[in-house]
Amino acid sequence: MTHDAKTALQRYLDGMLADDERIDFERRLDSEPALRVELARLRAASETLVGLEEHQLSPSVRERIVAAQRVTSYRQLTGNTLRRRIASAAAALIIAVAAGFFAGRLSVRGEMSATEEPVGAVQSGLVSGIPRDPVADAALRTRANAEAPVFLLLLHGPPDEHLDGLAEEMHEWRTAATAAWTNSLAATDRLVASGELTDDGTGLRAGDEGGSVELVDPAGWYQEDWMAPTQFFVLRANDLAEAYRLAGVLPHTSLGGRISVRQVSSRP
Amino acid sequence: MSQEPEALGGESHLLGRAAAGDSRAFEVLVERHADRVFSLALRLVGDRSVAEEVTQDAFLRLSRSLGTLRIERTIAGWLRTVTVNLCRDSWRRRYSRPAQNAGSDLAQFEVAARAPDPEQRAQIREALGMAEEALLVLPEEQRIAVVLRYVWGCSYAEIAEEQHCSEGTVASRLHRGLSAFAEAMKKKGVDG
Repeated sequence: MTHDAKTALQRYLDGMLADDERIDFERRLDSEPALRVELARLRAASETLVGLEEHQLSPSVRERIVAAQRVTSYRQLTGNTLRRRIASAAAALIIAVAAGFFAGRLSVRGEMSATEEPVGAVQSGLVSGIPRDPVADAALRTRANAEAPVFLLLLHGPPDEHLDGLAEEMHEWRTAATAAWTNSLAATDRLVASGELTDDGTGLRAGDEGGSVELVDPAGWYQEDWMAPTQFFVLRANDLAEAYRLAGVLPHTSLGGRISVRQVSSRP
Repeated sequence: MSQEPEALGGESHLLGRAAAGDSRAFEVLVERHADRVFSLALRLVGDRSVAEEVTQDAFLRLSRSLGTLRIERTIAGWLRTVTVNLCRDSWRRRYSRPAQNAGSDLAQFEVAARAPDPEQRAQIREALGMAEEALLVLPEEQRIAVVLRYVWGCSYAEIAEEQHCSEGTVASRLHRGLSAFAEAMKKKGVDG
């Protein structure tokens, strides 16, 4: 078969021939049994390929992709914040110089300090490290009522295999975003306590003999789908929904970790 | 807590929101396109871990381009182009061979004809079905043409743009690729 004939056959198979070309080609097909056999062979091959099903990307890779996007977003946002601050400081300097010129005295130092964030406010540069949720973002800028309910956030995982595969910049992002979140909680009087849990320690359970208590390694208590706790936060939120939202913007869950949220009862 | 994909609207809207820092919008884009991008990469490179890297890189590029991206076609089309280029890069790295006679099917055939070792073959079998394994015997540009046409559903014009060649060359590559694929399937004892 010539090169042109092969190309025409392929274009016929794919419905790419113009009407007159198609009619001519079908005449050839009628008169050339070998061409019909070749067409059938290629058609069967193409149908096999068309029928292939999609593969599923594993959930851990999806999570890494989303986490990587958050790193990029974090860097862009913090970069923008830094640029805005440099720009506002430069603008303040110009205003100060101009004001000083017209007033006959320069007060650059005073003008510069006027551009700083008020003490105790949550700086936007910090909050920008956290995945954006407008409601959680607003809560992280609002001082908590001292009488607001208290919640325990118990962080489980993330699994080692998620952390092992992370790029260095994603570890940086995780640390920076968690620190930003914690600082925001502290600045708004929401943070009651926090800490990391070591791997050491054992658990207690009732002994088989009844009445006795024995020490056991709790590692076995956590099945594959429910990881051991690694960190905790005690915080104030208006209600359970707000506590969920605050927990939800931690980078922890983007990296495959889980968070238990429980209200601490006000009863003694 | 999160909005559902339907509530987030069309893709240009999603892109805008993702560019503004809305991680959920980006997640929706990942949900919509990740399996397709991964399947394309896996069928082109035949290695699950490389295909996962390619998929991550493709979305990372999307993420880095969010602020400046002007998608004239579709996000799917943009991701397809990036994925194919990343697969080409992975081939170049894998074989560590200078790109001599780039674009020549003969040179590409020499690269593709290097048989995978037994361990690689076992991994390929685990990751892919028989038809997909048969695809891997095709020279790379033929494989790209065949996968884009029959698996991704591209037109001749789109493949020509992807491969920087004429539609006539696309037809030729498709014919040779499909024919080699049918032959490989026959060797495996499967017609078609």
